[in-house]
Amino acid sequence: MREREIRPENWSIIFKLVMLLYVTGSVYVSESGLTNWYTAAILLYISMELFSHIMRSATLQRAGAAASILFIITLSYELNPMLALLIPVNLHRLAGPLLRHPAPILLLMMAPILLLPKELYASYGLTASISYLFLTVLSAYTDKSKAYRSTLEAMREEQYRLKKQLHESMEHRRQSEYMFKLEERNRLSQEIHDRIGHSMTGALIQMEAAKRLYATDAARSAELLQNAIHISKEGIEQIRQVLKSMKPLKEQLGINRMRLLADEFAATHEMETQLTYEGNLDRIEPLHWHIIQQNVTEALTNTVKYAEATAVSIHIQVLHTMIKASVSDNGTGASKVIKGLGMIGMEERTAAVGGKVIVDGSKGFAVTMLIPLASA
Amino acid sequence: MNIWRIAVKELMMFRDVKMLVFMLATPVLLMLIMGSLLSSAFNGSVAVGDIRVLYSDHSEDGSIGADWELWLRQSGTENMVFEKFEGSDAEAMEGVRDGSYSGYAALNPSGFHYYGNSRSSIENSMVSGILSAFADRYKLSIAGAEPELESMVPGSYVKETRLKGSHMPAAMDYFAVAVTTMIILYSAATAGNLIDSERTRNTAIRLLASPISKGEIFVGKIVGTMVLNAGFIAMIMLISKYMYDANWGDNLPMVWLVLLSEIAFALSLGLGISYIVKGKASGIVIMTIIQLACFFGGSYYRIEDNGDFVSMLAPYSPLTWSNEALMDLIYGGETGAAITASALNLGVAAAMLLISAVMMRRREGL
Amino acid sequence: MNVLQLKKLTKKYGEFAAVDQLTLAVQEGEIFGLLGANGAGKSTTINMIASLIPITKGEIELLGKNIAKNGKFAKSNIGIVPQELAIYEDMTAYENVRFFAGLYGLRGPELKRRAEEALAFTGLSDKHRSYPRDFSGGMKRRLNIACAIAHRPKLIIMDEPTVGIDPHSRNYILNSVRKLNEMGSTIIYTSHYMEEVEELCTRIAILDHGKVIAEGTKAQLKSIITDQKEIRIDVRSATGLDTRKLSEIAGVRTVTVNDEQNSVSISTDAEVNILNRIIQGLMAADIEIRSVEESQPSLETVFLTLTGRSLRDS
Repeated sequence: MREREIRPENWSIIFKLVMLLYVTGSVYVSESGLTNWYTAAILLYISMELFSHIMRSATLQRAGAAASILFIITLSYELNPMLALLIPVNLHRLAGPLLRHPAPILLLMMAPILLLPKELYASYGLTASISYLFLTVLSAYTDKSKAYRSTLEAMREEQYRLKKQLHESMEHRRQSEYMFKLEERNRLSQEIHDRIGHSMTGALIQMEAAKRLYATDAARSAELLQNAIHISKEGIEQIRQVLKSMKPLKEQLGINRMRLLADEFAATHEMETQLTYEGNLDRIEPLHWHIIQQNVTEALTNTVKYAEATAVSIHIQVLHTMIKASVSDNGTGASKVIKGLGMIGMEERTAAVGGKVIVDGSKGFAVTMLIPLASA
Repeated sequence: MNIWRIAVKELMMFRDVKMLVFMLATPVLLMLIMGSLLSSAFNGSVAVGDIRVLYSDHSEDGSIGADWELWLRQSGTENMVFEKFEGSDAEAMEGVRDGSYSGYAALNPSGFHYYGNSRSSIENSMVSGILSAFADRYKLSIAGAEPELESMVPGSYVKETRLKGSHMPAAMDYFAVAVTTMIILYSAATAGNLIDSERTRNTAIRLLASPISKGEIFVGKIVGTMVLNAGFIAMIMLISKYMYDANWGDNLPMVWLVLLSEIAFALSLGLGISYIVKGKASGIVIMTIIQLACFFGGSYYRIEDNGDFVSMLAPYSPLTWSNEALMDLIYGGETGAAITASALNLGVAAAMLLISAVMMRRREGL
Repeated sequence: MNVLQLKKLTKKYGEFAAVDQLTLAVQEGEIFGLLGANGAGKSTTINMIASLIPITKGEIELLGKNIAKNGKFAKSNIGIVPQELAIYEDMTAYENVRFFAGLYGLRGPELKRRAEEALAFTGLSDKHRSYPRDFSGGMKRRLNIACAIAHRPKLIIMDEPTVGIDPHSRNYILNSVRKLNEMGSTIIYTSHYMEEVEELCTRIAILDHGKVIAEGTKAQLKSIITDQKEIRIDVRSATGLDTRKLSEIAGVRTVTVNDEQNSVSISTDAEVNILNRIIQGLMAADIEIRSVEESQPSLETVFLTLTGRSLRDS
């Protein structure tokens, strides 16, 4: 993902270094040669250059560049005129940001040529032109890449925001879908219960009446009883139906579902899978079960993908004000766990009910969810 | 103010007995041992041939040559041999260039020209000392030049030097200087520990947690160590001057400048390396550099300028700069080399400090 | 008032999050305990609070001010007692305290007075001129504290201040932590010794893998695990004990008699203390008591249950 950054700052430093090497080389072969003074001066010049590059504030940078120029002028006057070749680079650095149009800089960079001895005219002209071309192109490039980068940054931020939004709304949709289902089921069972209650009450009234008529009107009584039997039969049938419709719900929720999940996992991945629990599981609410299931599924997937484990255990423990659910394997683990998307998903789901997810890689992978529980 | 506090804290180190012993007793003992044991190396009998100088008489009647010989006999320059040369200047210079002679003095009635081999700067300063004393007597001016080996172009400056006192270093005089500069270089080792010691003692945590900046800590520590070392060096100088009667010359402020610049050089070298090289390796690197510099810089014995391996490498030891500058200063009254050496020392110091400062800013912690 | 507030504080080293969106508030006057195994993020958190390392994400507010923007203010109001001894062995005890207090801008007679106070406070007045290299481990630890408190910080962070010292010095330190707290400093305390934390701290946060996994008073933390405690009473003979009388005592949940072992096990609400009444009940029934043992979850149990690891062996 990370693109290689080309830092214009570094390039201009390298350019200066090249210039410096060229000048030093020329001085070395010249008559005067490299003297101690020259070495000391160059060291000082390098220090000054570094100083102006380290400074963060633009004013200090410019002051540094100005100082370098003055220093170089002094040196070229005192030590060796070759050193004047270093002037154009620094001039550009000093004047570049101040001038709107690049052309005058070239003039400025060329100006010192008049003060130099004739032998140096050609070299100076060449260096100044090359410096001008290189630095102008470089600064144009810098501006452009700065602009690109800021656009890119903004786009990335926007993308991240949208992605997060999408993720959130999908999560929300899933949760509400599920809640809707639960509510629907509640409503259904409530209704059925109401109806059974209703029919049972009807049967009861019929039987009460039959009891009263038992002595006086046996035929009427028998008829009422038959009616009651009929209603009761219907009721039983309704109860059966209710039970039938309740059954899948029970399987879908809670520890039974977890068991199913574990069995399924063991069967498909040939991994020894163990499910244990302690405490009063009834206190776990459907929403909590839902989150635990999703996270356990995710954790099992991670185990298959990364852990190289042969056994995995799922443990659910209901404490007094907290549920602790953990999935741990006997695999390789990792000394420092780096969160992937799956983990972030687990964290977000769990955070929705105020819980925490902890991943430990010290003894195999262990994913632990801690979900707060309203105290009983 | 905070810088001052940190500097003062650094200064409290002087109560450390180990440090005191190392910084004071070691050099004083070393000077004594080397100065007396190796004194034979500086005696006349052995030194014959040490400094061989050609001279030619350009006066019409040869009067200068005669005066010169007389002067030499009177002044008793035991370990210098002056040979009269009859050939041309170019031939004489050839002899100087290939190292068979330390220099060539052309005696003109109008003034003396002295051509020295640039490798034997200590010898040069001694010879020019003698020449100038002679010139002084004969009211002549002396023009000296130190031509490059490649191009024997006479220099553009004319110097007049007056010399008092002895013209050449006795063993004690030499080692007083050499051991002092060596001990200064050893302070690079303590400087390498400067920041690291705060880290290992965990006091770096306290310093960073207090409301002072990293820069203040950094500068304060450097200033403190600098002052501490300067104090030690001053004491060593005084001890050698008054106890051993070592010659530190007349221009004490200049001698001080060179020594101080070397202290700055050593401290920033140690500090810079401790930032560049990580962990314990930095200590080893610093010690290696110190040892090499001492060996090639003439701290243990005087490097003869005879073109062998050691003398070839000698100019690259930072101690050589300082030692030669000091010798020039003490025995030749020359300030040129001293200023160059100080500038070089300070230049390297500035570069190293900058590097350290940059690395420190990037780092978490000190 | 919140002395310290951490808001989604995060410290990343590369991709690895050493501290992960940590949110925490420490109120004025608290002794706040930070519990966590090695690598849980305690030290990283403390280092960020003390501005020793930069923050990757999130905010720290000290006395309502963001420390990233008010560095000097924050540093001046925090005193840190590092886990490792951080003193100069080649300076006297007094010079140590004076030097560090001086960094906080104290001057002249004021500086002298504060430094002496801090030494007196840690019981080192008579060691004024001694060098720490001649000190015992406990005395060094006390000096370590003295160096952090002379500037009277609002918040004192103590990172394992009692590691490896004799019981006497340890008691001294625990008492001085309490005294500092009474004198108005808020304290953040970390320790491997669970008993210390249990004894000292008014509120505790348990850290694991850079997150706060539980936070609250001791009672709140313990109630995560269970809301009852067990009392086991060994008696000479349990035969003929009427358990109904005991069950009627308010707060008693269950009473079980083990005839073979001659013991009575009673579980009660965690927050009530009704041991007296239970014993009275037994005595009224003329039953001879041999021993009484009350057990309720310790912080150690809480820690072990939630993190799956013991604090000590980690």
